[in-house]
Amino acid sequence: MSVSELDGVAKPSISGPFYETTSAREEEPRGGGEEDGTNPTLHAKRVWMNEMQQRRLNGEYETFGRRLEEIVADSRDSPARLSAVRVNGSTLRSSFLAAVFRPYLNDAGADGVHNSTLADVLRKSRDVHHTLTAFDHFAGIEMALEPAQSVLAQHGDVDLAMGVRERGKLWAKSSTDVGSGEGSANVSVRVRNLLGGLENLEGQASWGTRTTSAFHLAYTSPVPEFICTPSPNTQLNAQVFQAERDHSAYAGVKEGTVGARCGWSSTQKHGSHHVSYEAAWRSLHSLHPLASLSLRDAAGSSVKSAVAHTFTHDSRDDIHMSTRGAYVNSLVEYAGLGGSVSFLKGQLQMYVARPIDSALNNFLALSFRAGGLLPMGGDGSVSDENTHAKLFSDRFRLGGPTSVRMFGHNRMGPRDGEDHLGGDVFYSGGVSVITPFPTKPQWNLKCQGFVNAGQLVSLKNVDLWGALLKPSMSVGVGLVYRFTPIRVELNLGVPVIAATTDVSTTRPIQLGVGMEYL
Amino acid sequence: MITEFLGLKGIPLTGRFPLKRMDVGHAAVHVTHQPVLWVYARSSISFEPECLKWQIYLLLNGVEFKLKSTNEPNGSPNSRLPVLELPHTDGQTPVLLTDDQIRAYVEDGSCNNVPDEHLLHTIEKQLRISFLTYHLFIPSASLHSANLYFPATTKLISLQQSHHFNRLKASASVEIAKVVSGNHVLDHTHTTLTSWLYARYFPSEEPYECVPVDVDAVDRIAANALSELSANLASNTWILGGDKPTYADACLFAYLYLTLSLLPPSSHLRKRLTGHINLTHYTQRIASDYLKARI
Repeated sequence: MSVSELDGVAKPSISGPFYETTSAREEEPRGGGEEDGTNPTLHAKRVWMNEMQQRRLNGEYETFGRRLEEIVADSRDSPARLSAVRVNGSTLRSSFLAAVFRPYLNDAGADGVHNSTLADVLRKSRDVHHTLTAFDHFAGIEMALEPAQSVLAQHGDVDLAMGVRERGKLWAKSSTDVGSGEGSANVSVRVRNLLGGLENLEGQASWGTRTTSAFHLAYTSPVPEFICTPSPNTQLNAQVFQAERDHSAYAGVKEGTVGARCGWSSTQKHGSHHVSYEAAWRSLHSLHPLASLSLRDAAGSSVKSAVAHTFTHDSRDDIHMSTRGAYVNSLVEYAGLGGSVSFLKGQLQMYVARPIDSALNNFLALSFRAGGLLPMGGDGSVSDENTHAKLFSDRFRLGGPTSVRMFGHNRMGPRDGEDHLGGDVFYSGGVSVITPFPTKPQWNLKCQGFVNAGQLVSLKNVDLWGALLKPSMSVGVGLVYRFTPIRVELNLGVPVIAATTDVSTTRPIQLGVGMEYL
Repeated sequence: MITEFLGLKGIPLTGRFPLKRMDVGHAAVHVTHQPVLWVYARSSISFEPECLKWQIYLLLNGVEFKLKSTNEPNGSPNSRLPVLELPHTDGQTPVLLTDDQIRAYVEDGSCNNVPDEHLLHTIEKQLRISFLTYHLFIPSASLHSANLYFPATTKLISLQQSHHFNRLKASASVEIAKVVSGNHVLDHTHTTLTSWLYARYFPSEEPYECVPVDVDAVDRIAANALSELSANLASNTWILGGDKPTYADACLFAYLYLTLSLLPPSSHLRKRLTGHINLTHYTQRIASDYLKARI
C-alpha cells in the first residue's frame, strides 16, 4: 500500500504515554570499544542493566496497580464485610488487640443487616493500619485481605490478615543535652510493652550544671481495654521523680525535689489536653552565706499537692524554626489539695509565624507569654508572710537567651540583694524577623533581628499596675542555627530599657541554646 | 574573648545600655530597729531548749528584741536555730548571729562572764539529754513533740513530718548515746536499707537512723544532775550565787521550764524535778518575771 492510498483514511485517536521502541536494546552501552573508539566499562553496563530492570519493575507495578484499581473500581460497591482481623508476630495481649479492632468489626446496621461494601472494608483496613502505626510500637506492618476463615462466615466476608514486626523490647540511650541555660548528661532505659498492653516504663538519670542530679521513672500506656477502647490518642501516665537543682546563677540556694505525678492526656484535632495530679516535696537548702533575708524566709520544706490542666495547639511547620503556623499552650494549676502551699496559677504561651516574602524566604515570628500566680493561704501552721515566701519554687522567672534576650538567665524582676526571687505576674513578648543567610539560602543558618520586652512583678509590689506598664526591653540581631533537636542562637544586642533590679548581660553577645524561644 | 575578637570591647555603646533604668519597686525592703530572734515557736515562748535559752538570755540581760517564729532551720547560716538578726536599715546587709556570737554581742564582744565549766557540762549535757529523752523518745510525749516541730494538718504533710521528726530523733539519739557512753565517737552502723541508701546518696552530717536510747541510764544521769543542780542552787537567787543572772541561768532555766511545761505530769523526769522544790520555785520565778508566764 502506497502512502497516497492512505490519504483518505481517518487517523485513529490515540494518546500517550509513548515510549521509544525503535531500538530493542535502547541506549545500551556499545561493546567492543575498538570499533567506534569508545571504551564502555563493565560498570556502565551494570548500571544500564539495573536501570532497565528497575524500569521494567516499575512498569509491572504500574500495570498491577492499574489492574487492581480497575478491579476495586468495578467491585467497590459489591457487598463485603470485615469479618476478622488476624495479627501475626505480635506479643500484645489478645484482649487488647480485640478492643482496638472492635470498632472496625461491628458494622451491623440498625436492622441487624450488614450493608457494607468492599470500599468500606478497604477504608477500615487503612484505618486499622493508621491506628496501629500511631501506637508507635511496630517497626513494620503488612496487610492482606483474605477469605474469612470463620465457620460462621457469610458470603462476602473477608479477614484482614496482618503481619507485624515489633520494635525492640528494651531500649537504652545515653546523651548530652544543652538547653534552658544548662547542660546535662543523661542515661535512659525504656522497656516497651511491659504487660502486653503497650505499657512503657522508662527510667532516666541525668547530671547537669544546674540540675545537678535528677532521676525519674515514668510509666505510660494507652487506656487499658477494661476501661475503654484503647486509642493512640489517649494516654495514661505516672511518674516518680527526684531532682537536685542549683539556683546559684540567680539565687543563692539549692533545691531538692521528690515527688510523684500521674495524668491523662488526649490528643484531638484542635490540640492536646493533659490533666495531671502532682504531689511533690520541695526543700530549699544549702543557702549561700550571703543569702538575702527573703531567701532565708523561703528556705526549708514545702509540700505541693496540685491538679493541673494543660492545653496545647501546635500547627507550626517546624517546632524549632517555624515559618508558618501557630502554637498555643495554656496551663491552669491549683495547689492546695492537702499540701502546705496553696495557690492558683495560670500561664499562656502563644507563637505565630508568617512568611513575609516567599521569594526572599523570610518570615516574621511573634510570640507572647503571660502568667499569674495567686497565693491562697497556707495550712495554718505558718503566717501568711511565710506562706508567700514558701512559693519560691512556683514563681515565674524571666530573662535569658530563651526568654527576654540580652538579660541574665532568670535575672529580671523582684530581687533581694543578689537573689532574684521570681514574680507572681509576668508577661513577655517578642518580634523576630528571620531571613536566610545571604547568598546561602539552603543553609540551616539564618539571620534574625529581634525586639523583646517583658516585665515580672510581685503581688506585694505597692504599684502593681504601674510596674507592669513599664516593661524592660531589648533589641538585637543574630544568627540562628537549627540542629535537629534544638536551636542555637548567637545574638548581638543590648537592653534598651531595664528595671533597676534587672541584670543584663555584661557583654553585648549572648549565646542561646534551647527548644522554645521568645 | 568573642567581644574582643569582634572589637566590641572598646565600643563605648556597650557601657551606655540600658538607655533607661526604671525603679518599679522590685527591690525587697527589710528594715528592723530592734534585734530579731528567729526561733522555733508556736507562741511567744519557744518550745525548743536552745532557742528558749537564748530568748531568756536576752531577756535576762535586758536586751529588747522581737521574736520571729520561723520553725525552719534551713534559713539559718549554720542550719540551726536560733538566729539573731541585728538592727539594720534598708540597703544595709543584715548581720545574722548564731550561738556564741549572740553571747558576744550581748556581752559587748567579750565573754568575760565565764561560768563554772563543770556546772555547764551538767546542764548542757546531762540535763539536756535527760530532757531530750523524755521529750522525744517517750511515747506519751513524742507525738506532742512531733506536732510542735512539724505540724501535720493533712495526711500528705504527715509523711513529711514523719521524715523530719525521725531525722530529729536520730540526731538526738546519737547525742544521748554519746553522753551516756562517755565517748565522742560512736561506732554507728546502718541497720536498715533505707538509712543506708539515704546516707549513700544524700550524704549528711546528721544521721538517718536512731541508735538505741538507754532510758534507765539516762534516768540515773538525770537524778544525779538534778540533785547536783539543786545543791548548787540551794537558796540562792541565781545558780552561780551572784546577784545577777548569768549564761548558766539561761541554760538551766530553758531545760527546767520546758520539762515542767512540755512533759506530761506523769513523766518520770518531771516528777523528779518537782521533787526539788528550790529548782521548781527558781523556774517559776524566772518564768513569771521575764516571760510573764505561769507554770
